[in-house]
Amino acid sequence: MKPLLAMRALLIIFGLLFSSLTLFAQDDSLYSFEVEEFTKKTWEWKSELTVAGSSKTFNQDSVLYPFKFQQDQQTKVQDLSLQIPLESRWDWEWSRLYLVGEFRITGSSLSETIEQTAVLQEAYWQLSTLDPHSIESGKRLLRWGKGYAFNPVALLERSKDPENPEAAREGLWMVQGILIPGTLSGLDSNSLTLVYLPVRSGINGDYQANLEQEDIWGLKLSALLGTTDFDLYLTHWSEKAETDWGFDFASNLSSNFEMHGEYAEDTDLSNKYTKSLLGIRYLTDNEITWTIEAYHDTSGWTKDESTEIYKTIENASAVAAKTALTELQSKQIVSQDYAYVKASLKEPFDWLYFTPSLTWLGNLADQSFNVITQLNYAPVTDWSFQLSWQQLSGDAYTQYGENLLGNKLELKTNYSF
Amino acid sequence: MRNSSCFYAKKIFQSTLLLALLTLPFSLFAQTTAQEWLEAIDRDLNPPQYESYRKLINIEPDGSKKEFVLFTLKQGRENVVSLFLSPASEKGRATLRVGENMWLYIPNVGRPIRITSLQSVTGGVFNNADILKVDYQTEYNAVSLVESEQKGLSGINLLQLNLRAKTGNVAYDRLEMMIDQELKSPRTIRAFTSSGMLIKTLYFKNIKDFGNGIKRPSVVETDSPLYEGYKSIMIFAKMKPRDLPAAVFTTEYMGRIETLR
Repeated sequence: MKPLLAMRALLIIFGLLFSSLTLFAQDDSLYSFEVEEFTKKTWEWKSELTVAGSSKTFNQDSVLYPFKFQQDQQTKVQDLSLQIPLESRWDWEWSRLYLVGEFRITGSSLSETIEQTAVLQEAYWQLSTLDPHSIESGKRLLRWGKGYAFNPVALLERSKDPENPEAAREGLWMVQGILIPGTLSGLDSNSLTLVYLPVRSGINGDYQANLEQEDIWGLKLSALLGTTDFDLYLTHWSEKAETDWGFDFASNLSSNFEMHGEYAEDTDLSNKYTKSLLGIRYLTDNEITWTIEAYHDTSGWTKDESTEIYKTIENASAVAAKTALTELQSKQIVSQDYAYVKASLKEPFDWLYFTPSLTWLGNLADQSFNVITQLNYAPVTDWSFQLSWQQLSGDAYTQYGENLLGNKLELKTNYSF
Repeated sequence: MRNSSCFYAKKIFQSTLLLALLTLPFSLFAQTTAQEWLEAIDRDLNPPQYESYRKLINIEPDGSKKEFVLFTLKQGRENVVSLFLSPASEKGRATLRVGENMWLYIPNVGRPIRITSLQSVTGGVFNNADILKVDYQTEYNAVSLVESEQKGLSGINLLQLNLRAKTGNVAYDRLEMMIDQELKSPRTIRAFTSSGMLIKTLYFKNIKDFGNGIKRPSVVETDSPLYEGYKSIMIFAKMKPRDLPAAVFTTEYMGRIETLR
């Protein structure tokens, strides 16, 4: 495979670069501190180079498998990817411009070609003469909510993948005004955000593909009361004449225990859905950080409904099966109840900068689950290595039992500059 | 002759007056009680409003190091915000502390996440409470003050100031601060759990005059019996007074802290 060979060559060059940098690293004087190199510049940027190689095993028992591999039966696929994200900021006296994007090259043993993609995730201009208040215009990712894997109150953004909550997402074109009055009586700090998000054929059209024209208004009120953060969210869709709302909170109950929650009422095509989340983050005496979240979403299917969909894909006529498959693929969340548990152990056996973690994402309705084991190691400044193993399990006609992916082994190397 | 005597008398009076005026601030701030020493130490270590640059170094038993550079702003007794400037992998991260509340902002995540004081955003021996240090009197009550048998650099006996946490949310239950009376600065601080177990020792070194009346140790080192052989160092630079609006110390502003450098 020529594309894969080229990608492997790149991986070797990357490895040589790492070893040379490690060998020739200089040991500066312990207390030397050249501050001047850190003074602010008009243009600043940061980037990363990530090379990832993965081996995936397909689930041949999945009802989705015949649709993916109608002619050529495949059990495994090897992928290699090179990813270069870039964050850049221009800061003039009166305004700022932010650009965030990503360039990716992917080669796969399934195809002869190398796929190249470039995504502009955020691009916005910010009026800074009003500091600490601001007005922003452009492509922006709002990231509303307090949850780690799920965000019920994320009413004006593309949905997050709970399997990879920190994955980069694309923003939406909008105008945003932020007012930070600071302290008001009874509240330690507070802020107010007003958002205008237009939907037209050329603007945010892919966000709401079923709408030709819409004007969406959003309001966020944030406050800190004692040791608890509160946010209230309100969105109004002018053409549909629909109003959604939600709230969230987060609080430190002790020096090693954090609790957070979200609730939202989301209307879609006259159906009112409620979404809620409750989560904790707990640090034990032996340095294990537990992140646990429970999520309920009435827009998901019940167990009987999802079972029916999988059975239709498997047994019904081609047309009915395709319809069911499209319905499944367009569903943002399959079931109504999920749980997310992540245990991360800091530097076990005195192995500094080594962090193993285990993540369990479970569909509580059909008892299927997705387990991700990760070993993270960052031995040298700006370099990190991640080895991960993902295993999906479940009975027939369950979400993770019917997933096309059976398991995945991935090695990722990252260099920041 | 009479003129000469008058001249000298006048000079002596002026000198005495000048001396009295010069020593007045010291007599006003003369520390006798544990609480007064606690307030004096806070004044010395944490000016009311300032900006500074800090370098954090984590040293492993084999001598290998990991360094971080932070830009820090502080307001009042309990508002602190820090921005990571280096290394590149951490650049743009910001941590905010308002009293007992702490948040971490990661550019990729794009929103503040609550963190706890016992976690560490840098790894190593310093935890979040050490990195986002607020005034000691915000978190601790002065319990007692005793003269130690240990001597400071000037040969005068060190004072031992004992502090106890005001609430259960504070990182360390009890602090034992050894104070150099001459320098009016802590030499060491030992942190204990409620059961009396030593968690870590902080060593204050290299007293430096940063200008604008700010004079304090420019190096803080720490080690811990829980991390045998490991050491972390914090070096302060360019500390100067800076007045900022309260709105800067809010979660909404965390993504813009880098613009204040």
